Amino acid sequence: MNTCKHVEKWLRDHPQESLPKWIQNHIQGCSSCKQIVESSSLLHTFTPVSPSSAQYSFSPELDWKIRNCIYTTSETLKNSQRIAKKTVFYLHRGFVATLSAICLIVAVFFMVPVANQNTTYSLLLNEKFKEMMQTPSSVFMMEVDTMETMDDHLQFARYYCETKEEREFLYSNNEDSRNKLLFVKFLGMQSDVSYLQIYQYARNDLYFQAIRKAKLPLWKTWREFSSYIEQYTLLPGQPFESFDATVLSVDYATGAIKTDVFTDPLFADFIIMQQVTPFRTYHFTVKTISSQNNIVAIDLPRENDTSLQGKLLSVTKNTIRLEGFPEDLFVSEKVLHDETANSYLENGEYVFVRIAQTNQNQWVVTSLSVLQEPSPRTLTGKIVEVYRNGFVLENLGMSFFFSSPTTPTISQYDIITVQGLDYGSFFVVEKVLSIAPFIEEKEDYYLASHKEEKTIAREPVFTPPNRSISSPSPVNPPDQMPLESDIVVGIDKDQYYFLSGKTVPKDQLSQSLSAGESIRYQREQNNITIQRHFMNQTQVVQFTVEFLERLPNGIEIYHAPQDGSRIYVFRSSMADKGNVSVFQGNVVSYGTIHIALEWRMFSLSTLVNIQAVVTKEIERNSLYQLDNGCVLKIDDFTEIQGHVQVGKTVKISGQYDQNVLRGYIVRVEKEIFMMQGEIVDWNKEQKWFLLDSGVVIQIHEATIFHGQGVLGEGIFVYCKVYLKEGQYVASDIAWEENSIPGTGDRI
Amino acid sequence: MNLTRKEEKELVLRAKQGDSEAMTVIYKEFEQEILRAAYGVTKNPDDAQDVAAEAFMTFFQTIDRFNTDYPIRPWLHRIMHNQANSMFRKKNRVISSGDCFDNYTMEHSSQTDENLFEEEDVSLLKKALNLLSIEEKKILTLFYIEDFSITDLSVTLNIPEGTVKSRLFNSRKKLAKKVQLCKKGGGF
Repeated sequence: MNTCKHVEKWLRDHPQESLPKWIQNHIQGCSSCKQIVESSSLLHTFTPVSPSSAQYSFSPELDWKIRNCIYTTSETLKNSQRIAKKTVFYLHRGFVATLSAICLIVAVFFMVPVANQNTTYSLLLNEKFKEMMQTPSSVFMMEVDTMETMDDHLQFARYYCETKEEREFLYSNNEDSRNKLLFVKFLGMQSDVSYLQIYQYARNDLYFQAIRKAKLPLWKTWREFSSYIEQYTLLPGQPFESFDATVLSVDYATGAIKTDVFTDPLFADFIIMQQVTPFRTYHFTVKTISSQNNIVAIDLPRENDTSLQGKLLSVTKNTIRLEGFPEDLFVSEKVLHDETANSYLENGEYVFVRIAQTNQNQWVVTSLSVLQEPSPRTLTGKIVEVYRNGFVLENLGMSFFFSSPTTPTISQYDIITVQGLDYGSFFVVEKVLSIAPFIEEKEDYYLASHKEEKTIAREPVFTPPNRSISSPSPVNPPDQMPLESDIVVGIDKDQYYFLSGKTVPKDQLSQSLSAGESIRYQREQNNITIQRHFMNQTQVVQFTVEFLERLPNGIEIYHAPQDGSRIYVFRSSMADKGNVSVFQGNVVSYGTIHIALEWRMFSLSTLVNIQAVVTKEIERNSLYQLDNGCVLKIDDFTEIQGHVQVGKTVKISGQYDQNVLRGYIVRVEKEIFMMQGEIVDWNKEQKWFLLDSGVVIQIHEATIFHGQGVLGEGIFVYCKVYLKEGQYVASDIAWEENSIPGTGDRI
Repeated sequence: MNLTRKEEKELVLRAKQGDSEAMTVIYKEFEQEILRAAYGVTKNPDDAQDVAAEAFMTFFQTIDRFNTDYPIRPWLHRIMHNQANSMFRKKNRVISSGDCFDNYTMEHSSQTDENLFEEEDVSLLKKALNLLSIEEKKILTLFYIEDFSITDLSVTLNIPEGTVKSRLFNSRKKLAKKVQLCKKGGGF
């Protein structure tokens, strides 16, 4: 065998040579090699066409054309090479020159002092900082920007002074530009250098030197400082603005929220409307769309301001005094002339103010708004909308808010009597005098023994959070019957069919049920009250089932031996047709109990079994043309094994339905290939070999060997394989062609 | 056909630099072979001339993109075959690679100088070859008659060298059987 292989190799490597002696000797005793050598020599000798004897040559025209092409191509290639060389040369020269120039500039820029020991770079950087410091108005607190009127110095101080050092520094240098002060703070935070040392440099606009002193990278520090002050600068056209604002009024009808920051209302969606209450401060994020300020987010305020409201007792140039507050409030002219303040203030006006206390224990007004003086009122009406913090009453053009965070339980259509303060556009509820549930809409939920009470109590009964209503509780009637559980298996025109075997007329139930629902109910005379009903999710299943029994109400129970589950089927016709069937259907499952909603049951022996190749997909995943002329229909209940696609062989068990074969069970056949080749690598332990065509073939216990050969490198084999998880697995292996029964695609 | 692989590579490298002399050497080296092959495919001397000329011109025009790791011959054959196919397409004549090769083989054998070989043997071989599949005929003829190496065949047929070897082995084995059959007067 080995010599034969050598003969084969020699013939392959020396096709034009005469046979050596060892081959001549070998073929004397090996008929197979003799035949091969003879045919090879025949072929070899059959190659008599020598270049000299051939008469093939191009016509003069074509010869000239090819030579011309050679000449043109040659010229083109030479030119392109020349240009490429030149380009490289120029690029090289240019690169060196540019690099030298850059090095020179960099050296001058960074190293060479040009004036007063300053390099060009330090001068440029100082200029940039200087420019930034000369624009003091560009730094302000967000609230200041949005309100445009507040005493921003106090705001700035409040923001700036986080430590004692900062406070001392600020108050001793508060004449300087805020950017400069921020620069000192920023550098102080980034390094161990004291504020005063940094300030010495910053005062003389020597920012470069200050950064060097702080041992910080120049350019990076510039960038970081720019973004540091940017976060406190609102530029025009910014898509979002965030600020703290106190809500002055809320209109549930329009979604408009008035604040002490903007004259124009902010608009909120239903979710945000749930969260706001007048006179509370929130941190709003607002986006302006088509000149309308829309609240996109709401959060707790960043600052904990104090707010006050009351009548003005006195108004001086810089201070105001409010009713109920013992101290004077400092108010700047800007706040006084704020657009939310509407006008010059007068004694007796009712205002809302936000105040902040300075380090000198002085109270400063940060916002001031004039409100309509609230008047105490008692109102009654039907609730038409309910929110978390308030509600809307029918025919009253105002929104109602609870003053206490503990809100009473109210529902739509309740009739409610409230006492509180009327602010004109809204009402702050201080006390709920009564809640009368809207009886007509709810009586379905009460038992027949329930006595209706529609009278609205005149005296206050509400004390949050406990609610006291004279209506009896809907559950827990005095003559309580035991609760029963069941599952609805079937429904027809007049009756419900329960899993327990009971049948209940529809008119005994106060509500309608669907098949598959699990219920808990109470029976009382001829009435059934459903206390609880729910339904698990449906699922499509397939079981091999045996008929078990038929309940008195006609429901059939099937047993699935594989998992012991039971399938309850309403009005099946399969029970009489045989004991063992296959169930396919949509069921609601409660543990091992399955309630059939839609199904089919069949006996395998009654199905048509065919094997065919899918030739066309008529309708995606449902209708396929088969090579035998049939149309295969796959429905929701079809059990599909494998992936049905064009070209695949499928085994179908199903039933004909008007020229369409409805597949109940569709199995995609394994794809079988025939392969042949020389084994170039053989792994005995892992049971695979590599064919010279590059395909790795796996062997397993079920592989059938046809013949007495062995597997090993250099052995030529014929294999029948199939694809399994991307790997070729041999089902049959043979050493002679046509030894494997069956056919398949040849690759 | 006298160029060694090294010489061929040097010629290609020179041609890629724009050396017209190197291009001319390549042209003259393969002129007859490609013309002959083109004649085998087209069965028409004029068409063969056109196809072969186009093949050469295409080869030289794109020589700057030619990978020197590959031999010239299979590429020229492949270009020629593509040119022939596109010519057939223009003439609304569809030709499969098998047909082309069939024509080529038979044409080639008809060109055999019968003085060098016995008429009977030629007939025997023709018959035996005709009993093989097109692929088998193709690989045997290219290997024996056109002196393609295993690498050349791998490039031309676009299959791994291992597959070339196994196909060659099988084809030869089959041919041997067919020749024996023909000798005995069967198989027809």
